[in-house]
Amino acid sequence: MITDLKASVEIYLAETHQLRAQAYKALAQPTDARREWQDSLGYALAVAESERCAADVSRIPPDCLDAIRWVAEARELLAE
Amino acid sequence: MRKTISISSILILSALLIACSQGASPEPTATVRAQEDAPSTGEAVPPVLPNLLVQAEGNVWLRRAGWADFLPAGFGVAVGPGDLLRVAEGGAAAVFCGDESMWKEGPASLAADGMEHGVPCQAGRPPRPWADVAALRGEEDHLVPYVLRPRNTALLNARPSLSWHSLPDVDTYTLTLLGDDGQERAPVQATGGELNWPEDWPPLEARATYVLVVEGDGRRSDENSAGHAGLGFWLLPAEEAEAVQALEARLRAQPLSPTAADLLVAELYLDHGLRAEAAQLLAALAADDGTPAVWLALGQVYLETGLAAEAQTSFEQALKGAQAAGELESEAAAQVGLGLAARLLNDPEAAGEHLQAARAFYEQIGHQDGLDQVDQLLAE
Repeated sequence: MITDLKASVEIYLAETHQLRAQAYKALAQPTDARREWQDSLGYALAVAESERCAADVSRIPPDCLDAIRWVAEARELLAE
Repeated sequence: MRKTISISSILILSALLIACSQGASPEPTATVRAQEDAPSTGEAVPPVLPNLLVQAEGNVWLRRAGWADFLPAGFGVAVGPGDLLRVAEGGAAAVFCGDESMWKEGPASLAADGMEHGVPCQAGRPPRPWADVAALRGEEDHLVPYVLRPRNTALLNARPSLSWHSLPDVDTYTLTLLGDDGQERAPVQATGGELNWPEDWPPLEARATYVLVVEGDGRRSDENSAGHAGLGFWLLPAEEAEAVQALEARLRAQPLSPTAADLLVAELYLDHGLRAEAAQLLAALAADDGTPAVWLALGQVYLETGLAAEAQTSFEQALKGAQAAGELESEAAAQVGLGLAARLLNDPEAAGEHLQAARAFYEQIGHQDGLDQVDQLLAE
């Protein structure tokens, strides 16, 4: 129960930082955007690499799929 | 005669009550209470330990949420979900999760591939808050043989070793134990600054509180205006002691380096108010291969027990190590510790300077929690 609650907080934080990164990018503030992408990556990894998102879980929860996608997105943008 | 005995008994009992008033009372800690209260359905209990970096070889970097960039991180640093870790090729890093349910998996190694990795744990036990130095008994007079250990602490060992600040040109000390267990313990003579529990003293008893008084060359450890406040010690209740020992055995059975096991056990002890035994472990670790995190933990224990000069030395070592390793976060924490130690030594000017230095570091890192904490301390 507590584990699920924490995971949902982290997925929420990952998404919030992702949206902030996009906002900073739109405002042409690349340093702030980069910081937000890194924050998003940290929280997205915390979810994506958690036990509940392990690859051997038969039905991967939707939050895990979002987190995995956001990890890839953040990595790609940070590598630019 | 009977009147004299009863008056002295009342005085001892009053002193012991005051001695207890500043420390944690011999009550089970939150973790044990939570474990006791948890229904048998396997409901989650708060993590026993913080998530710690128990291996950090080569180049290991850490970035917490909000930080401007990655910074070097060393052995013993606490990490949590949202933090990013990067291990350069050829390096090695492992995290031990504080949540007991993750212990069966042992420490989690991170790939040394230069990529960002998340912390493979749920949130661990939060970091221990800084001591409220305004409420502490601080030892300021170096010409007093003040007690180093045990003071303001719970204990596992019923025959703890005794340690005090030795004075220059004083060879012999008289040690007296005040206690409310009704046992007779005659004062003993000792040299140096440490003594094993005297053989003819009965061991400490549960539910009793004690104060050690050291006298040397006419100076007494309790001559500070605070009397016996903040000097009390007591045995951990048996049930809680058994729980701690069981957890310690589980930690010692983990595939960890002895240094990592000692650090985790020290953290476990601190969670139960076992400051004297934690300080002993941390002091041995610091003397052996003191990383900034170990010196910081030791300094914090000294601060909690009012040992300002000892805390200052530990924080100075932490600062030195952090500067050499480029660990800015530890450098900032060492400055906070030095500021609080200066406050305990009644030096507000130095305290302000250290806290401002810490603030500048936190600002540079982009560590908002640290900034908030320092601003709060500066406002006090």
